[in-house]
Amino acid sequence: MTKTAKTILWVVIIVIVIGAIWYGLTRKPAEEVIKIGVITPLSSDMVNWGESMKGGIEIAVDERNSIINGKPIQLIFEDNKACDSKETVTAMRKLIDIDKVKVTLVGCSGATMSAAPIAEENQVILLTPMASAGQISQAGDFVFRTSISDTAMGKFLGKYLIEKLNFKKIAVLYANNDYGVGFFNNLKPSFENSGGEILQAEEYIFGATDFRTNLTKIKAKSPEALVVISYGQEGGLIAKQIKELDIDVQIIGGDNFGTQEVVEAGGEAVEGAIFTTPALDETKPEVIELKEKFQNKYGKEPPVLISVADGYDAANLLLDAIEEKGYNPFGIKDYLYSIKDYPGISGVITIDENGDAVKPVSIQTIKNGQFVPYEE
Amino acid sequence: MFSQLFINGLIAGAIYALVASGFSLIYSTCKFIHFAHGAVVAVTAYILYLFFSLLGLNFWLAVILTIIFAGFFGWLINKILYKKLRKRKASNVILLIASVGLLILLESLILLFFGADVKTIGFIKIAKGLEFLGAIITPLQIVIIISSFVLLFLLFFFTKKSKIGKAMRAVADNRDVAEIVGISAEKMFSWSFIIGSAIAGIAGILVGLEQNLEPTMGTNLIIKGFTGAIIGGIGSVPGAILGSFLLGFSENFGIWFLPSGYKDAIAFIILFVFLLARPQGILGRKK
Repeated sequence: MTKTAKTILWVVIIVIVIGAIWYGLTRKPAEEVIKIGVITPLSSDMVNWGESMKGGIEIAVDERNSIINGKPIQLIFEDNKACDSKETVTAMRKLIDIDKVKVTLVGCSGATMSAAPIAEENQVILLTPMASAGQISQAGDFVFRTSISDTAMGKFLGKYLIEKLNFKKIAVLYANNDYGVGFFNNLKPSFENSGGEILQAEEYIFGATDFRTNLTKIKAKSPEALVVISYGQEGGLIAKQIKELDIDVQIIGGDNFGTQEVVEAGGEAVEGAIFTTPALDETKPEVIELKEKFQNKYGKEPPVLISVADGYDAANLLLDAIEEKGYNPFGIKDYLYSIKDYPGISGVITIDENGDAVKPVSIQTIKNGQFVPYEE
Repeated sequence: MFSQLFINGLIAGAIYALVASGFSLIYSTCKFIHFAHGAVVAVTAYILYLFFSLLGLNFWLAVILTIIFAGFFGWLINKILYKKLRKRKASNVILLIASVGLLILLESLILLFFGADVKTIGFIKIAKGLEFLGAIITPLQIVIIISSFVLLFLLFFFTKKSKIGKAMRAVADNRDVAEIVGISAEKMFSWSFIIGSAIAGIAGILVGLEQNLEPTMGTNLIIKGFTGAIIGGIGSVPGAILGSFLLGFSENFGIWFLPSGYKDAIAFIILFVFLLARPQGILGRKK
């Protein structure tokens, strides 16, 4: 190496070192910004749910002008693709280790389950506004949920089928993933203990498009009602194939049946289907207002309104907690456990001893492609 | 019940066959695994949606334009990606990896342009199917089954009788010798992509009508189409179609006895059995 090259190298090194020291000294201490980490699907085919949740959170933060207790709020968004567990773990580690985040909002059941141990270990708040898996109830002390769990939904539907709808013999078609199996495992005892009989329980591979043989098996047992625990696109296709195969059965859906995708994919075949849903009354002025805010901010209709409402409520609960107790996970945790009858847009929320939201469930039906309350 | 299961298997098999035949045609000539074929099916389904549902063209005109587009699209993929790679003496493994990359790229592009939500081509009204020997089948499903049989015969005669078909087989057999007698291998690769992708276009149209559209539909289709092609004998187009039907039947008869969650397991067990016991497939030639 020539002398000039050496000199240049030294100058570069000195500049970098001085720069680093200067950056380190002048950087604002981390405590001055209230950082909230958000992990949710922002790409892939789950993007509609993630974007809605993100919208709800951003609206809630905007309403406080991004300031809390005189400190600016910083939202850090991380994409977990299609609710991918691996992506979520990477994102969670990044949020905690690099961004030094103390509160997080995580979307999807599987993602929440995989992020929960990390939150516990680092004593970071994990609040999920969009996950329904039953196991989340037991995921830890720092893990909270503001959406309704499958446990609550399945138990409710099992009873409702027999007591209100008077179906004694049913068949069930469910997705063989956390959501479908969890829902079914709660529906089954609740329905059977009330005196009902499940004639045929069929699982299908998540993402399937051909349900004809499942339905042929179900048709052979001639049940009075068929409970479909599926996702939007699949729910619509199942309804379509039920109609094509001429199966005379009342379709009962889980909470994912109340999405626009079901109507899009199922068309006429989903008319008259009855489904459980988190009680989101779309005629309430607050819901309409939230919808308008989303439209004004993003220039489009909210893809999944319930996720916007859930995200909004969860963010507001967290912000209330921070306002009250400061940016301190232990204080926030105590505050969240004490929530009772919080008037959220997505429904009245009470947090139980497992950190789960106790929320009303409502029953709706599809009429002319619209979701309307079901009247017995 | 048997007849309904038979029909269910036939429908599933026909859908796999529609995907497998184009894929197999491309493989037989070009000798590499073009996984992006599944995405080509998905792209063409969305193109039909664009022409028919968004632009409001006449349905049949939209169908013809879609098939033409599919052939052109295949030609373009070969020209701007695979041909360039072959020029650099890329091995088949590199072409395979490129094709997986292309599959993901195309799916992401669909997601970007059309969004994640389900799209339907509302041409056929949902109605009760026709009764047929105790089984129920919709007119569209009959069209799907007939299309796959017609393709089987057309492709068989095309490869055996037509000039291009014979030339394609010559290239498939021995590229160097074929080039010595004046057949341009690159030209035959282009033709196989045009014809194979046009078939993907037909598959995209029929599958789109039957199952609705989502950005990742291509991956699911190519996995089953590929399995069907391997079972039937990769490189043999009639074999790929037969293999696909075998796959459709075994899945649907299988889950009559087993829980339905085993559907994919059944498919892949058959694949393994063939790979171990008869790797050249039903109609493949032993090398």
